[in-house]
Amino acid sequence: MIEGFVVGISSVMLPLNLVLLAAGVALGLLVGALPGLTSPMAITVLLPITYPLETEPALMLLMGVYVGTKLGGSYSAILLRTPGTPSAACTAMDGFPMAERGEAGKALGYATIGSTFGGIFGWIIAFAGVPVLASVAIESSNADIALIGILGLLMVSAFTRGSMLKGLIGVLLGLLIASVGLDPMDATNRYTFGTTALMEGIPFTAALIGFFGVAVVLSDMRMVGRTTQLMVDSVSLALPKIRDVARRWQAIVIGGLYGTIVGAIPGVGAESATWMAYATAKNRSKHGDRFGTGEPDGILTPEASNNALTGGTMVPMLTLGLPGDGSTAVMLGALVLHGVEPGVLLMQTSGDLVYTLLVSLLIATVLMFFIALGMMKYFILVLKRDRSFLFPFVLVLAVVGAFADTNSVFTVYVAIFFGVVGYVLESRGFPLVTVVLGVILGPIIEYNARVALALSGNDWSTFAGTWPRVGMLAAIVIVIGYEIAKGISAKGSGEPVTTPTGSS
Amino acid sequence: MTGRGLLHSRAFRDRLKDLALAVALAALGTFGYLHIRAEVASGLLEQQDITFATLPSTWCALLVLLSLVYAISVVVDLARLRARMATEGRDGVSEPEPPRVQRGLIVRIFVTVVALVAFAALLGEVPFFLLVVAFLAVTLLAYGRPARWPTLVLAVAGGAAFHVLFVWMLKLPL
Repeated sequence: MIEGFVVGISSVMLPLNLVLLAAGVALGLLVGALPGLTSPMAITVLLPITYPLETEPALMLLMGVYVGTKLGGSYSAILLRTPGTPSAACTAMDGFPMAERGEAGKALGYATIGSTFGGIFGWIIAFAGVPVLASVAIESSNADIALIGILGLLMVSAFTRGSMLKGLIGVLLGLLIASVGLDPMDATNRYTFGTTALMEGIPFTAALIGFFGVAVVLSDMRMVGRTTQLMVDSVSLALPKIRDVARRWQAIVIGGLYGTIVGAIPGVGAESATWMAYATAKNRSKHGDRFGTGEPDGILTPEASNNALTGGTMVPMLTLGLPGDGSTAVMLGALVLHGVEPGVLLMQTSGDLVYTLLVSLLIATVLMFFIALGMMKYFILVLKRDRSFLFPFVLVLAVVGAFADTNSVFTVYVAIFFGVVGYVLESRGFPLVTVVLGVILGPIIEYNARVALALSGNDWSTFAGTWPRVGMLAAIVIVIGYEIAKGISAKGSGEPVTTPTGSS
Repeated sequence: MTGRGLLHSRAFRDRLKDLALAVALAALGTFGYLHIRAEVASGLLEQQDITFATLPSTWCALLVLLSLVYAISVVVDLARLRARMATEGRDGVSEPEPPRVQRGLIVRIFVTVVALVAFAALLGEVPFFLLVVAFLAVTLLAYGRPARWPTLVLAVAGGAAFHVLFVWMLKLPL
């Protein structure tokens, strides 16, 4: 582990890597601060810029964006009561009241401290856990991997925003999209309709750019023309005293634990973790009645949870090839684009890269603290502007990104098509992250299921052949049964059957 | 409660959109299933438990099933909504939304999609810098930026920046 840390730090500290990591963090803080712009979108539209880069520098940039957006979302939550990211909604509960009574700088200071310590907490657990889990995961057979993939997709459907029914439909759409092209085992054409362009399948980058880039811009068209009135015209960060932070250690630990644990569950997303952490901190606090009125713990806990999540999501991503949230889904795509095969063998085939990514998470968290300290007032200036001037530039990045993947205009048309489809689905409450995860995991599930059957002589009982597999099958049944029961119960009481959580 | 009255209700119109989407998804699933089964029928296959068509057929069948469940739930919601509106004595004109706002939104989305398609069609035919400037100018104007020289300067600056980034620095074949 120490050797891995040394390898990682020596890679991250290379000048280009460090510069890209810092640039990513700064960009992430900006994107996170702007309501409507999401972390998956920012990572997706930056993909074309990473094409000519080596794998490590490319991932440094994307990792920086991922970490930066977690804190950036708190800026608008505190100053506008409108969270920049869904996971920052909780921060607004106490951040905005604190800003209202003239303590905006202090609120931002608590958010920065909470995010930093939470991020370090999550990193510690990820750094310790990934090598251990990787050594267990490598013993997985094809049947295990197929079942893990199916369980992951079900959990995403169950826990993401909206109803499980819509989540499952999204997953099935993603699985169908992934089916287009030559069958991986016997090279038969599937859904190619006689066109050679589709024989290699739907370009993955085009689907990503369409769903997370174009669709998001189309969905945000309603924001065009709106400028925002901030709570204060100018604000500077006011860090809390060390003694004050030390006194509130429980709030940070609660946030860190929830963020890391929930982040490690594929697809659940940050929003669940922050609200659960907030509720726990409120219940355990001696001043629980102050939550919601500007209580510092009400900012520390959700922000710690938010950034601890970045460590949690690294665990399934780097050990099993399963994304923890939408952003890591895009990063998995970036790995594939740069010739790295994510999955249970990643630690074995690219161990240095894994440690580099883990160390970059730590360095990005530290950089986030210092960049926020120095540049917050500039980020806040951008908050006041009408966001419509950003959308055309985002769209250019999206078009170029789609083109650059295959140097073909066909990919751009595919991205536009999926952008429109994504907009329609999003407008009707279908979480797009389920579609993207279906696209990513579909080929993995199919390949491993078919190999498992081939190796067992077409014996389907191989999927229940070991106790871990039985456990996973039981978990699949339990998740489906729970959601059906929840749906029937909600329909009976006339309540909407939705989960108010999301993935970002 | 007349049909026209119901259509004035935003909630009712939202449910109709849900129903249309459910039907479209079911149709997609049906088409996908029939298409892949036709591929199986036309090909020569050894007897296998799982083939190239097995999982796509499964996904399509599940998609049809879940889309029908979704459609049924929407129809039930529509019936409940209609009954509620009738018993509460509303005249069907509820939650009016400003027509100008809605039209503006639709126009912006339409212009965006058309501009994107035009951008894609002209990529490689028109110099990248000019294409980007035109795209930025059209979309900035569509999004309400004033039709004055600052908008044009922004479009030209954006075009230049993207040209430097993608053509000079990253050497993409644009």
